[in-house]
Amino acid sequence: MIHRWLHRITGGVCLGVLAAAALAAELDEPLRPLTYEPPRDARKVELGRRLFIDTRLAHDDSVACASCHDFSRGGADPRPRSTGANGALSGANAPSVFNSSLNFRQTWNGSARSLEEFLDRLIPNPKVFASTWEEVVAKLARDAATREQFAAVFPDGVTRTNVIDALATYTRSLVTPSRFDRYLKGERDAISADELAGYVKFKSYGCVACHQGVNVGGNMFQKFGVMGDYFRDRGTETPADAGRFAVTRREDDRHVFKVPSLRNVALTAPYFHDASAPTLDSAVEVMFRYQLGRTAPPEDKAAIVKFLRTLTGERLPQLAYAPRDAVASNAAGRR
Amino acid sequence: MRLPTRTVARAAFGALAAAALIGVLVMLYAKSSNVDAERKTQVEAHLKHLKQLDAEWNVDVLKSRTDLNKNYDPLVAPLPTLLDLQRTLAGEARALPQKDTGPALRALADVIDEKIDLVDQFKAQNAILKNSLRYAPTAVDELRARIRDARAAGSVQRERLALLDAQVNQILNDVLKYNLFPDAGSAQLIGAALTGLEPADAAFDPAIVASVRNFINHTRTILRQRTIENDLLAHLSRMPVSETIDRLGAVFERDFQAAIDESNRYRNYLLAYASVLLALLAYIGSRLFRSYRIIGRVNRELKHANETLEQRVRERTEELSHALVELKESEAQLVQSEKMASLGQMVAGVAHEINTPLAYVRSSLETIQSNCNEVLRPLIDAMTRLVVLMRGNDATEEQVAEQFEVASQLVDDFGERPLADDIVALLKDGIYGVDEIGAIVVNLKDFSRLDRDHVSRCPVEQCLESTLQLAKTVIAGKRVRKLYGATKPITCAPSQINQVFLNLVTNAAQATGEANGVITVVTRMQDTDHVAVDVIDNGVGMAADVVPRIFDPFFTTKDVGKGTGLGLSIAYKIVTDHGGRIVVHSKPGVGTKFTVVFPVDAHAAQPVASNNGSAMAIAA
Repeated sequence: MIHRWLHRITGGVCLGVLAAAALAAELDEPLRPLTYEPPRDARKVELGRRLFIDTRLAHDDSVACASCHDFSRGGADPRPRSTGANGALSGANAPSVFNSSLNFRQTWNGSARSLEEFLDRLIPNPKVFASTWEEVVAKLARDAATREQFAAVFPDGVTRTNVIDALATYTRSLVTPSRFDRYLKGERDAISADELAGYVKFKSYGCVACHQGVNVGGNMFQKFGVMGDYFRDRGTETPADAGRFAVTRREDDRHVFKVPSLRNVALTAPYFHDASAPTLDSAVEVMFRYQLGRTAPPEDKAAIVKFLRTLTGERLPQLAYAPRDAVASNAAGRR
Repeated sequence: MRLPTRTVARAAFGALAAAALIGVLVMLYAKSSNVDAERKTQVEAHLKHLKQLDAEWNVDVLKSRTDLNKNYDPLVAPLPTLLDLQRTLAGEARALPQKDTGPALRALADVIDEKIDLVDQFKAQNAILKNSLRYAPTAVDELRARIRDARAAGSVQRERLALLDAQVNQILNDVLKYNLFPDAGSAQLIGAALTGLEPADAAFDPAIVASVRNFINHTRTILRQRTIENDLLAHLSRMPVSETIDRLGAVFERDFQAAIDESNRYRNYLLAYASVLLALLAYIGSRLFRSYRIIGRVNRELKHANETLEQRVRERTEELSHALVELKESEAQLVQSEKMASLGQMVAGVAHEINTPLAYVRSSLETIQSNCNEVLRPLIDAMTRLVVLMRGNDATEEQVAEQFEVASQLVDDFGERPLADDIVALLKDGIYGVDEIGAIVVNLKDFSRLDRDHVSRCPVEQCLESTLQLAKTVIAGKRVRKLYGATKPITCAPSQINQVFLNLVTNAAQATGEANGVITVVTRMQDTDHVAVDVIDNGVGMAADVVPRIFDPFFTTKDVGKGTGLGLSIAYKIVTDHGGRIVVHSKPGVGTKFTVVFPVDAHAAQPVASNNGSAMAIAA
């Protein structure tokens, strides 16, 4: 009885909210639309783009940001683990750089509170660039062309802060509005009926409990294995599996990770920090089992996958050239 | 121009003192404006913003709890601002002179970090709770559908299935109610009810059993998550963010107040200091004004004094020129008197010189006189009487003849004696003697003449000759050697040059003894423009300590009354006035050599009486 009464109340509230949303012509949904805003400082973005493909950030000039954030793969690394400077293997699968600025924290365990903090730590990270800021700044400043590019944007030229600023600004420009955002903004035909049905299931099965907000995730932490012990089932634990425990040292935070954004999820295989799910279907399967603690008919899961594909950006960012070419051309330029 | 060290030091000290005074002023000013009200207002605004943000955050947590927020974006939205505001406040704290805000800022950071962490946990737990809450009715629906299917299939356990249906329905109602109004008692009852469902497992169809298990699982999750969420919410509500902000605000307030107090204190100092400076300035100003007035007065006095001074200088100059003229006059007189003194010494010799010709002039004249008395007068008488007889008409022949005879006798006598020749010879001697006396007089006149400005070209040899002639008696008994060279005549005042030479020759003569005295006079050309005259004697010479003093006025080695002590001094003056110089070399027992050098063409020759140069020297 009570829950019916409750439904009435919530229904009333919902009606009210719906009315307000109707006025705004925007649907009131757990997911919020993303709008692309052209960057205010195009020159800084361009400088950041150049730095993004610049292997001089790495101690041995072997890798650039773009080496692990493959723009043809949704800005993520298609390899289970990324190769950094000196051939070091990363502990986890590199997540997408696209829309990463919308995440409330950076990295799987949320160790960086901001993009700037994250970028600052990337340079000395032995598994990423294995360099020092002194080295990077010196290498960049040695090149007259680079000096000029910096001077055009920053009065004080090549500095640690400016490198970070340019890269962060570029990263913030990498947002990917999708068809689904058009739907959320009130364009009802932007997605098909099947896809809409998938979205309804996404909500009703409880996926949306975590994957919500403007980035469809990326705004909270959650334990991997709420309704079942994923790690025991998978076997051997790796250091990366500790998750947020590595940051807080609190036992409750073991196996807790930042809920990843589902934008461009169709492109960013393999999935999860351990790259254990090679396909979207298998990832959804794991999520149902360990996060939702329930089973679902395959057609429902297929519908959800259909919905997930609508989250792929309609106009994905492009690098001027492929990262491997960039590495090569950089090397050639230095020679 | 080189400034005196003391002036430089005083200027440096003055500059330093001024810099120090201004430095203190600037320091005081900086200290008095170390905080501005705008800063304080800004900090207050930041703190207020922080509080506001926290309050909204609390509201958003509750909205998420009650599903009014459909996603967690509002719960993460304040994060960047929370961190930014803390950074800004830390910056403001660093700008303050007091540094008491550190602990309060750290406390705030800690409490905010803890709250962020709690909110993160809340999101995670809330998502699980929501998932189970959303799913619980569905799970019940699924279970009831299966129960309906089983009952429709004619299950043997119809009654038990009906009971299960009712139980599940009841538990769902209870758990949803518990979700809204959680209390420990209900949780315990629901937990017991769930436990009561468990034994039914084996009795039912496996599909129903799975559904029941699923339901139990999610219901327990709801119970668990609700407790966790309650704890989290209770913890969150206990988070003293607002209080910590207030405490930070109080510390800021105190620091600002301290800064403002300090600022005011320094403002007072500044005021006092400025007053002192102003007083100092006024004092300096008045001093300057007084100095200026004194300077003005002194200036006026000076100007006046200057005018009278000019007058006095004129008068004094006149007096001085008078004195100078008198001095020159007396100097000339002194020279003249020295000359006269020299002459005095020679008077005896000169008298002798004159006496000799005078003697034979007299003897000649006496001889002529006696001749006239003895011979000429009778002859002239006889001749006169004869002529008178012959002219008279009354005289006899005899008388004429007799007179004729007397006259003839007398003429014969006269003819026997060469009387006429004697007279002529005697007169000639007399004239020679007179001439000689005349020559001596001319020499004397030349030597002592008063027309001192008389300048002429004159060979030094001539002057020497004239001098030696005059000094004959002084040098009597000495051998005089003259070694005259071919010299050019010099422009000079001959009488003055003579005086010099006389002095030198006299000195030489006096220096040599009676026997073997040799005075050597040498003239030569020292170079094409200068004539040198050496006066050398082989006399006693002079001691080394005497030589430097011989040209000093009133210095003499002679006995008192024998010399004025001015001779060489005047000689020195004459020579230098002629643009020449006089040097002496002397060796006791060997002799003395005076060398006088004259320029041939003495443009610069300034004879003693020409007093221009001397007057100039005094004016300078």
